[in-house]
Amino acid sequence: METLAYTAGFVVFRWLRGRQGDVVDEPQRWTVLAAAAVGALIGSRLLGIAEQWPTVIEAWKSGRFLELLLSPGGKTIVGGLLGGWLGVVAVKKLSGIRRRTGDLFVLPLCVGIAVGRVGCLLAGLADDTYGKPTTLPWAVNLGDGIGRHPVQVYEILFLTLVGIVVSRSAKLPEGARFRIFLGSYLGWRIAIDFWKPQPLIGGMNLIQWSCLAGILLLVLDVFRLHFGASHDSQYSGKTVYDR
Amino acid sequence: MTDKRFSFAKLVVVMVLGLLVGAGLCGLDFALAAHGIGKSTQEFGVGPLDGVSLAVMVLSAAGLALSLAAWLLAAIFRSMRSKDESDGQQ
Repeated sequence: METLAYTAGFVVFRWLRGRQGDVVDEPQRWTVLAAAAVGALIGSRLLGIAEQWPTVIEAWKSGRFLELLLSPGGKTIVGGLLGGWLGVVAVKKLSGIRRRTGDLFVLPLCVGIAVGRVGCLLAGLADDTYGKPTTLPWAVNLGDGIGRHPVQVYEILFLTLVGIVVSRSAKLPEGARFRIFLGSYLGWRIAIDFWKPQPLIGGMNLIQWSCLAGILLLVLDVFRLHFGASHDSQYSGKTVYDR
Repeated sequence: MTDKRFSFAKLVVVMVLGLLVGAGLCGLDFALAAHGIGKSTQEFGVGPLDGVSLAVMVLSAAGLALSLAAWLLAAIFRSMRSKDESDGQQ
């Protein structure tokens, strides 16, 4: 399902880019994509390993740390999003790309994450993304005989809503769609992760703390854009490449 | 950071996707093991696709490291050459 999620996201990205055009030319778009991919890979893995800190400590003590590092699991969407975002910001600064390039990623991310969450649901308890026990009528039994919140389904519904709202919104400034998506997804994860039985540090799990840090970064970024240079007036989103 | 003749960015994206797909095979691994194919569904256990997953991950990780290094070197070389050219014109 993970492979299907990446494929679905990429197909939607290609379709959207063909339909709407792009604010940057093709080589610049590939540079942004590469930065996003590498950043997402690093962020996803780092947070994924850090999130399993009790297992990490146990693996370290038993001398199986390298085994844990090489194990295929342990990636997080939040780490991927934050790592990808920071990677793109860094590479855009280095390569002098000044246009905001994230809007085109919003719908592909919604689709890709939603497909990935189907995989999380099908993987059940092995995936570590299941919800807390509940007696609600729509509780799911993941094989241990306990009815649980279908948190993966909640997330798919949330992403569908965000995808519809963001893509149907009236004309927004360049980059606003991505910031709305990122902010709302990070906020959603802070809320929904209270329904997941994860190890807590100071009342929240590591993903929730990362989401909070991401929201703070996003707020700072929005302030910088709003009160910074006259960048927005310079780019009204008129230039369109590769329609 | 962009190259008209050869796109390092495309190569990097392909390598990252290869790495993610290799890592993502664990889901299929669990599914196969749950149906009695393979030895274990436990963490650190040996699943039926562990070998394939590891091979894809190692190869794409090595490819990713090499392509990032080559991209960086090409960017440095290009910026040095363009600096030389602009110095020569002056």
